[in-house]
Amino acid sequence: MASDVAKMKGEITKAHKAVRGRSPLQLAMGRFMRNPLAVAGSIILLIIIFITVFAPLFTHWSPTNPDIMNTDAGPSALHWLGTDSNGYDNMARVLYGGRVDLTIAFAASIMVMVLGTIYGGISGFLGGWVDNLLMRFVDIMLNFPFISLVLVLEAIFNTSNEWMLILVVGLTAWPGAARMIRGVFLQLREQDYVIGAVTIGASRMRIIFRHILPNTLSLLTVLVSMSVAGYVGLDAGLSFLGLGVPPSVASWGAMLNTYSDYISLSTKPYAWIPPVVMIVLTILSINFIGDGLRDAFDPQSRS
Amino acid sequence: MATYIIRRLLGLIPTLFVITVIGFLMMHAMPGNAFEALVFNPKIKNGAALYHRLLAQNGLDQSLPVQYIHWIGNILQGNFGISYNYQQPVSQLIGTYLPNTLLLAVTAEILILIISIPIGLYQARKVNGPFDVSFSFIAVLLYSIPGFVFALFLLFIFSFSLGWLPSQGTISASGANAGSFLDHLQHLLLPALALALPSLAGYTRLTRGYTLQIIVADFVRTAKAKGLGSKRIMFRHIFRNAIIPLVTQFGFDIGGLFGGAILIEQIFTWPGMGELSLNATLNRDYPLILATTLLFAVMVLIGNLIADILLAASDPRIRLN
Amino acid sequence: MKKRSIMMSAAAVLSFGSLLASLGTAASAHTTPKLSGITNGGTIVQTFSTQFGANMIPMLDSSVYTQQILGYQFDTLLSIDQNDHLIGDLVNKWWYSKDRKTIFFQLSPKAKWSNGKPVTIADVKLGIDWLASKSYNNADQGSYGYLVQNIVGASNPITDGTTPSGFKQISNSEFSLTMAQPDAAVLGSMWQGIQPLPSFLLGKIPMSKWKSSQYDKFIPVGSGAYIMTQIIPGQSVTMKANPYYVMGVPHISTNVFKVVSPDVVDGDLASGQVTIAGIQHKDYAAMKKVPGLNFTITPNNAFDYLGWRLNNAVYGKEFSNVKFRQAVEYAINRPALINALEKGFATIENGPLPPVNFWYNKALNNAYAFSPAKANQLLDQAGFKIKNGWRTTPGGRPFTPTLTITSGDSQIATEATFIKSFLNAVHINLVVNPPINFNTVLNQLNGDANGKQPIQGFLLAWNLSNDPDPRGLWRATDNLNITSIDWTNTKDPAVVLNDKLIHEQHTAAAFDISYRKNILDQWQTLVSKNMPENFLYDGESIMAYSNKLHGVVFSPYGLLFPYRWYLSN
Repeated sequence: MASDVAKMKGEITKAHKAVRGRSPLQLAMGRFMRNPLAVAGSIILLIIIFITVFAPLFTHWSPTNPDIMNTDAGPSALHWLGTDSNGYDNMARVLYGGRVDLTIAFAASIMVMVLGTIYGGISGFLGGWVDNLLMRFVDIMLNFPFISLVLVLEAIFNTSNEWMLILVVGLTAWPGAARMIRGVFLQLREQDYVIGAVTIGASRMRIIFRHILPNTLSLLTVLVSMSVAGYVGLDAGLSFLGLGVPPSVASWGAMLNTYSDYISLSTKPYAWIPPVVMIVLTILSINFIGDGLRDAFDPQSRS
Repeated sequence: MATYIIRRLLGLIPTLFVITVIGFLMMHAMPGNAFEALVFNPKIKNGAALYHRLLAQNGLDQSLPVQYIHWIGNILQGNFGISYNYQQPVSQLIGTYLPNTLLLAVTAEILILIISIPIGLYQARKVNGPFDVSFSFIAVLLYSIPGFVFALFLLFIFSFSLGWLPSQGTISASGANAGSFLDHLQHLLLPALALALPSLAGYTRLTRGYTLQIIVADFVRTAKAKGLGSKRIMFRHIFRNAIIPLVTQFGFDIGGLFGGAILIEQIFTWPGMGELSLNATLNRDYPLILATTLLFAVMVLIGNLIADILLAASDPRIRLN
Repeated sequence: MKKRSIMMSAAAVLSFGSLLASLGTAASAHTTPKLSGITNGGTIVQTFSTQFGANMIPMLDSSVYTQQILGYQFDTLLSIDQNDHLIGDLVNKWWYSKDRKTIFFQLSPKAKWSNGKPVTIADVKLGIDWLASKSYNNADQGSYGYLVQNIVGASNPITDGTTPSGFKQISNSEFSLTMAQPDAAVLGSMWQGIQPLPSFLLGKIPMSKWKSSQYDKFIPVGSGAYIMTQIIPGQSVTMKANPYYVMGVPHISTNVFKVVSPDVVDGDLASGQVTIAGIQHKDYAAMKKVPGLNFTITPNNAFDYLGWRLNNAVYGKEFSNVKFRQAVEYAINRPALINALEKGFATIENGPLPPVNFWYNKALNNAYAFSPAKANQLLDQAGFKIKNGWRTTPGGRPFTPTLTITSGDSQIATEATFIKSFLNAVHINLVVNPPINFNTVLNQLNGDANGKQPIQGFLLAWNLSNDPDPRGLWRATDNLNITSIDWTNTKDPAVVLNDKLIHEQHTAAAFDISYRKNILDQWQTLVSKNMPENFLYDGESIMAYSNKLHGVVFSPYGLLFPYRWYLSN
């Protein structure tokens, strides 16, 4: 890639030749790599994933085995970020915590992106009775009783863990996104350029993928980064209500939940700032990547 | 348009039916019921007998289809039943809790719209300027932090440290100005802000993103070429188009707002629909579960319908039929 | 919500020390001490951590918070003081018949409703009729019918508005209650708690209509220290001092109960928006630095325990082995558990009564000192052999018991993790199941008579009343023992002895305090030795309150005598 970028900086004619020889995807990648924020976002996200996956390299404490003799300890040489009231090492929890949060967020984003786009796209593009039928199903899914589902699954499997939550999230995350994507499709398919494409006999697939989909990227970016934001905090919200993953499972959301009270906020910044920073960095980097992708695939949108 | 609306309204009925059936089945699939704890109450002499009597009294010993038909029959007569847990008529409970939720939700929604749209438009006009960049960053910060943490921050600053605003309730319990307009406003401000801030950031991003996409469209260029003023272009040409996804989102949110914001409600002791429906589920309070499910579904469906109608109104080319 | 998962009240009896001491004497010694420098007036704010129920007819709502509100508004016949002694209230004199079957009561001449009308025998009768009625017990699911069930004629719910034959009016201020068999527990655990009801207000309404009447939403009179003036549903109840209160006019003029989330209660205390509230143990050290607050630590009359389903299909036989349960008790390092979970604010519990209780058998103090060696020895004796580092059942099967915990309480999950590590140290391969919803656990406990239940071990807590009467909880016939023990094996001599001792502690002979103490000591020793459940510890609660608030009487039975509290400037 570095050599590609070097080439781009060459003479205009030369560049023109080089560009002409490459696919739109390669072009987009090139543009993406020249966007400093997007590159920074990718690097930050990779670092976070690396830390999360290789957490044992950075701490010898386990996030699931509490240190009984040292509960609610302040930062020390032993526990760099102290321990919580159950004796879990905060440092270990920050490092390992991303596993649950990122998996849930990842599952939600995939569902939003794939199912939301395909479902919403088909509905919006085809319109008519297909749209009507598909949207009624979305209406039903939007009303799906989330908490009941958690309780029912919990009883069926006689357990509650992060995988169940992921399953539930996967089932319930996409309908909202599908509705929004459909709205955009409804609007875009009436645009002159789409009608033009239809007139010259372009295939449906080509119209969807070449002409409409790139225009939904801006919305998709916002949707994905917001759903990641929403779902990073989801397990925290659920444990707040007495549902969701057991406290022995480390997650940033759960850490925030543990420290979200008056006394902790005022006296234990060492414990709640790290998970907040991790969550914000993750979402920030996803945003930058999303913006970068949009600019790369839709160069017109940059002004 | 009128026939479309009527058709869609009629179309709600089968959807509502399916939703209530799913809700009904899920509710019965949850283990346990509202009366089971009586068996474990050491003070009740014959808990098991009372338990079975209560099951029979509430028709829970009948088959599920019979129970469902019974419920539908009562609903059609306007009878939502009596909550097992609160021991009050369900309609009365909703009458108490729904206004609180509405007040909070509508205030939050107004805050969101009047703040986010101007900011988004301004960001798009001065794209990549210092305001745009710094607010984009703030927006991410706002929606990355879970709402309940925000709520606690707000409380920490404005109630506990500065002492400007009360920390809980919809009005003061006692005191000279309890129940006055100012009293309501003081109680409303913090929860509404806590509810609005995360969505506010999202709406700003959407407005900015869409405006940017439309700013480069041909018709905007044409408008510019015609020599129209930039304000006119912004509002007549750009805003009208950029608002479409916002409208969809807004219609979508209307329904969600009725569901309440459970965490915000608990933190601020704001007795609303969120807490009501959660308690109903946790306590297996069947009549209340069904009533809140139905209410929530009706609101979501109407919200979606409004979104569709607004969508068509904002762009006459969109054919809904 | 960070609340304890299960709180059920066990049946209770009275303290006989006070009863015998005050026989035939007026309890007027317990009136407000006249202190100089007490100012009157002001408002205090107390908190509930979740919503209160909306039914304001006394004894109707199952919410403990509603009970607390109505406890302020309606006084009982007698009350209990901080030393667990029975003292006069609306009744100022009471005495027994010779056969111990009848108790005579005399209403205090000072007993008045908040509108100035005297509390009459008709009001007492209405209170009893209500608790005994079919409407209350059947249609309205009232759970305090047990208060009057020992009165002759009230053992089963009776027609609305009729009076059990055991009630007799003697004069304008005296009445008597009669039971079929003498019961040493009846006054303190039952009859003491009867609330006279305003017959001029409720008497004309049929009982079946009470719940739908306006008074169920708001009841404007009472006989207690504070009377409600405003209810904001789900948020707060404002109460004003009762000018005709039997114990004297309360010093503080307004008392407000507010629903406050446990996450913000510390901030409300620090900023003065709440006057008095319980705080979490982990916050105590930091809260002590907040200016303007005082703290009091009181033991709870409650305990946490680890239970085993003795009729479990997989390991029921192993759990039924008393040596297994004793070994578990030795294996758990409870001082460490208390330090970790309760920051040291708890006492070790080795038997069925918490050490704070007057009837606690002090001989049990060090019954099960932490000793992995003893635990290993007991397990070896019972035949749990070690294979590949883990113990097998005496039959040679792998032994991997599970522990079920309820969701919504991070502390209980940590407790489980600790117990797992202690049991692993004695080679018991305990597996902690992920937490599940409380109603699901109840359902599994209730539906598992066939022994196929998924629950093996579980962690629960009991809230006790002031008296140790074990009936309702500990007899082989009690329906509740599925959450504690499964002593349905009536051939077991230990179970037979248990039931015999429980019977003896409430017979006529048990009216003698030393006799009853002796029986209860024997019973506690028996239960402690048999460990039908593994007793863990008795927690303490920490109350934080404004340093302007004085006169609060802290006790394991709650904050007592609100009429004596006062605010300084």
